[in-house]
Amino acid sequence: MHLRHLLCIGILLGPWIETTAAAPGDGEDFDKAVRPYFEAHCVRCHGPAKQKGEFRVDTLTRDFAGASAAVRWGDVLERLNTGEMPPKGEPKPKAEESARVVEWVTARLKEGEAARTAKRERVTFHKLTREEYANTIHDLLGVRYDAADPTGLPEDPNWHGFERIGTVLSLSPAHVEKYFAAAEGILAEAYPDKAPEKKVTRWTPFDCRGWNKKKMEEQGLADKVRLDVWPGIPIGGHPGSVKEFTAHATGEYRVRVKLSGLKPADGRAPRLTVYAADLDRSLGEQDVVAPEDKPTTVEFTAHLPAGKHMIRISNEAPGPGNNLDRGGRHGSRPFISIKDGREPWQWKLTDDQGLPIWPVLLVDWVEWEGPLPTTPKDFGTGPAREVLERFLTRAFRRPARPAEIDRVAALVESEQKKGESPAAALKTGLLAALCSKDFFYLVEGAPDRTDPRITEWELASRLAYFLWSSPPDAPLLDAARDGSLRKPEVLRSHVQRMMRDPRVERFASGFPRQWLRLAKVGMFPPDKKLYPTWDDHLQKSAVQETIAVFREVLSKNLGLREFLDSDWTMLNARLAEHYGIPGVEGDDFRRVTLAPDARRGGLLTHASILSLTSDGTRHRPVHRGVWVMESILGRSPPPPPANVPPIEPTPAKSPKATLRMKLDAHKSDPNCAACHRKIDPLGFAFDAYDAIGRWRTVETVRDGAGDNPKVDASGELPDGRTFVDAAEFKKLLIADIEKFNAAFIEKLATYALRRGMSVDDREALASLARQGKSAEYRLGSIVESLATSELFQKR
Amino acid sequence: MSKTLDRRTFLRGAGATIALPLLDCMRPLHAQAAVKPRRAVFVYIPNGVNVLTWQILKAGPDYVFPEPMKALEKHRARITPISGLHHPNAIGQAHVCADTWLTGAKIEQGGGSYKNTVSCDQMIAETASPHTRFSSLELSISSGVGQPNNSNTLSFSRDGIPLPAEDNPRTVFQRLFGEEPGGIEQRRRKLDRRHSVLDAVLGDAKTLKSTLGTSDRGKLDEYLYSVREVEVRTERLDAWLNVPKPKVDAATTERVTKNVPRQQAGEYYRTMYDLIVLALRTDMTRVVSYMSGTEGNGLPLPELGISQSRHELSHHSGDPEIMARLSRTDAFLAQQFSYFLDQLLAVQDGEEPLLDRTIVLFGSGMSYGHSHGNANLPTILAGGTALGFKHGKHIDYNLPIIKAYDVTKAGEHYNLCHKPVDGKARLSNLLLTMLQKMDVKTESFVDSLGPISELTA
Repeated sequence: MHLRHLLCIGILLGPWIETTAAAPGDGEDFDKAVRPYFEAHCVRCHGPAKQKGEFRVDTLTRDFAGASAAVRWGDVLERLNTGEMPPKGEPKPKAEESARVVEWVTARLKEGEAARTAKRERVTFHKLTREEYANTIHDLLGVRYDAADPTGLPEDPNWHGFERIGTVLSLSPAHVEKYFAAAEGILAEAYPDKAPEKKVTRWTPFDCRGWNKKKMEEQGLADKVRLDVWPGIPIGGHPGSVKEFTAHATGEYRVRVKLSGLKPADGRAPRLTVYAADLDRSLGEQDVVAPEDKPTTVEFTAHLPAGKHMIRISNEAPGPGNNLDRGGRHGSRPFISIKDGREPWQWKLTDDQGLPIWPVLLVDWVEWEGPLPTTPKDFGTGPAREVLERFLTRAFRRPARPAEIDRVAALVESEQKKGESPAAALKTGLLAALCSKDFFYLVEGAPDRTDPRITEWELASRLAYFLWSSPPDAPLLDAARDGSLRKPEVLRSHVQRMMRDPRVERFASGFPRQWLRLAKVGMFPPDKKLYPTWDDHLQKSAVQETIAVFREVLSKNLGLREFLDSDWTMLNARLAEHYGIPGVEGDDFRRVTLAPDARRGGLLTHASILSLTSDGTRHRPVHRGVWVMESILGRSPPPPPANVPPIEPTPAKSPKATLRMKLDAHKSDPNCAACHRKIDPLGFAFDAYDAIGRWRTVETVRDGAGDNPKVDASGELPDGRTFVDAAEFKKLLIADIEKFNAAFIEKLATYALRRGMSVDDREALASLARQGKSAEYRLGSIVESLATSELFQKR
Repeated sequence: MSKTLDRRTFLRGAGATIALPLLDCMRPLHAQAAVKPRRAVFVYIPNGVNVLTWQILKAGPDYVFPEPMKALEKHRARITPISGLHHPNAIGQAHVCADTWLTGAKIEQGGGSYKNTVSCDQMIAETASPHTRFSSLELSISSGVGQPNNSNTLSFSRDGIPLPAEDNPRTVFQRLFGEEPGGIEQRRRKLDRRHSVLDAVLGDAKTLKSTLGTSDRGKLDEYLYSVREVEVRTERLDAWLNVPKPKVDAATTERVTKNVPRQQAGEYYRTMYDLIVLALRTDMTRVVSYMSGTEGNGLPLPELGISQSRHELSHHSGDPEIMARLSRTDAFLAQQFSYFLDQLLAVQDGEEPLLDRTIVLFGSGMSYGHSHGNANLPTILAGGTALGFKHGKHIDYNLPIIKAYDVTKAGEHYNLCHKPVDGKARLSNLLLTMLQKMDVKTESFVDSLGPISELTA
């Protein structure tokens, strides 16, 4: 139904409050068109006698200025519009009658929106996420801050996966203490009293293992000794061993490893990983393949806080297990070469031709260098007040106000009077700026401003934090300063420039991560016995596929259709192996054309998506259905009732049943079916993919007798269309691409504007949806439309 | 400036007159004893329990300890298990039960801001805080605040903001007992500097606040409150500078700061419990909340051969092996809790053990974890006998109505863990009882109907 074609926009009648007299025409329409309609078609189930879905239409408020009115009436509008109400089996009202009601509701909603805009909070504060905080610090001071470390900032709470919703990001006294401590550390690193000395520390094989150096020196072999690092065992030679590295000052450190990597002919490459256990952070990892006689040097750079760090350097490829005796040791002599003979009871490193049969690293040394010199940002010289003005303007992302400068200048002066040096006193002033609400919040609005649009300065920040998750750069700030940023051509040119800037990577990885709930991947770790091939590398690769696909669609301005189904994807060797796709070598991601029988294509068959809804032992089709509803169709099903009994295991003598068969109540019980017939089919469509996303034709079931049952991936959508498998289901989604377009745009707007979308935004979003459609749903065009839209400049 | 000096001089003076509690290991600053301290500890276990094996079948003083609770039998005279309690606002919700265990709030699940309310431990902390260097201590298996609806902390401020927890004993010890390098004057200078910075940012925010109407200030108020709180803490720390921190002996220091990996769960738990005892006996704080597990992170127990997390075990789908493991895990946690009570008994506070003036709540916001039943919550109250608490019996709100339990009829028992049998048996009644005994002046807490008189009669 497209009743919207029949809508005429009602005259704005101003906020309508119950106690005042109804405006002319309004009450009349209600009594003539709406009330009789409700009485004839709705009140029977949604009135004094019965309240189906806990909803009553006869007591709905007529005050559309209140937010609750907008939500409830918005519900009515949607259900009438989609034909969902009156439900199947009830007499259908005449189309014109429904149209009149829809018109009336729409008109009132618009009036309410106008009323609410006048009432909105005058000044809004949206806290930066911790990632944005770190990016902002780096932009402002040139220093890296590890916000996600245990010593950093608390994790950001999320709302439906989005980590940057202003109302959800709260501030507690503990946060303030952490911001204070963070700012102190950051300023100390940016402007140290004395620049820390760069030091080099080298770990030789003898530093890592207790081998007899003297004996090797006597034999003239000390410089030929290497560390053989078998799969799963760190360089120390013992499972779980860590080696302590002391960073004498906070800063950037370069880790270099000289090593060879032996790769078996049909096997995995060995994978060097450097992990700081105390920070729970990977400092770097990569596959290494280099012949024994031609070692290579691998380098990572990482920011480390001063102090002791527990470092684990290991080889995270799968191997023969950590049976140490058979792997690592070499009898009485440390490892020199694979050509050396090995004890008979040890794992053989090579076959009879001398070619490696296990992925093994041979490490010569590990070197730490740092802290590396940095170039702190310069805020010029001159009187303190001038330096402060420049700093505050940069930090607050808008011209600093005299009162603000005065206050900080007074602080600096008082510090000096108490005996602090000018440099220390100035740093205290900068500290105050970094603890100010105008630094770590995006502030919009002013007490005396009623303009429903944000200012140019605020627009510059909104754009930068949308596309780059970092502050606006000089060109943006210049355009804000001279008032040209809002001009459509200028705005558009900036947006296009920003989308080509490398910093757009923050959007390209951050948005899909939040939209598609990728943080949930690995939340229930796949059981090691059931899924022995799932490891950390595969998990990371699975997530990277999804992000790489998004990045590709964005950078090549491909259409949203590619997310629903595609004849290509982005793969590295590890993931290709998981999918059974041949011919992909190397750890980096590249675009791969999919053969028709690859059974992949689009986001919905990504291992990341298929596994994030599993519980570690099995797939969960209802959770998958909910995920599709929320992420693709933009709808949230109501929560399940409280006392649903658990799924019974099949009795031992009964034939094995798929999970789908066990969920029979969802179909047969009408109370369950009302919601589940809309949810379950969306998940059943992917029953041919197991809990870690592998293709299968039978479902491996533990309880019951007989053969494993065949997968049934067929289903019927609420509107009656059917499908036999995921491929057909994806075609149905593509047929409904307008729905996906609308849902996607809503999610994009949520991310961009840092708030949920409400009935007030309906029309703006619909307009963006139309623009998206006329641009063939191209992602880049959609992003550009949003960034240059009126909605984006709305307070 | 002078106003600030006066206020701080006054506080400094007040700091010097606060007498330390009469613990055997310390000397009071003044001869007169201060009012003796009251302490409260809240210990949380996530994902409920195996309700079929945890349920005590009879009410009253002669109850039999079920298998998982056997380790607590020696403390019979000092504990009161309670059956049938619930938070009305939490019924039908899933893992948000941890967020609301101490707040009793209704969390809207349909989007919009996450709004929680003050947790009862923070209300107690407000009353107790003038006497201790730290107003409260939040500990957890996972640091930080976690997520809305999956909290890592039990404690929420007056404004419903979660207070981050610490998970590392060494970090906590450092914060409580560590000396800052440099002398008192240097510390004072640092605190003064911090105070000045906070004053400056506050002044700026207050100017803005005065120009906005009362309805427009949500986030700004949050900012003002949080910054002001830190300023108050700074003032308090300054006042405490003249009061020396207690010296903890080397053996105790070593015991509570050694790095215990989580795989050695028992050792890790006992270390955390030791740390709590240490904090209480040195009067560093009088209010502690401890999440021994969060809803999303309940330690597996390799020492029992159990590799599943508590969450995985609680979703057992009726599998008898998994349910047995859940019972064994329940027993393990009860055992560690029993150890905690042992330690509180072992430390003398004057003539009585620490436990007598410390009220401890142990329990979960979930009962039947598999389908998220939050009625009939597993709850045990312990200690505080010198504060007026009377123990030695099982208080049961289900039995007067259902007459008897039959845990062989699993479905029926699960039902009463979903739908409260007695709508008046509210967890907030218990929390109110604790609040009142901790000298918080209040007649109600959230949806409480009144204190539980059987606990204090």
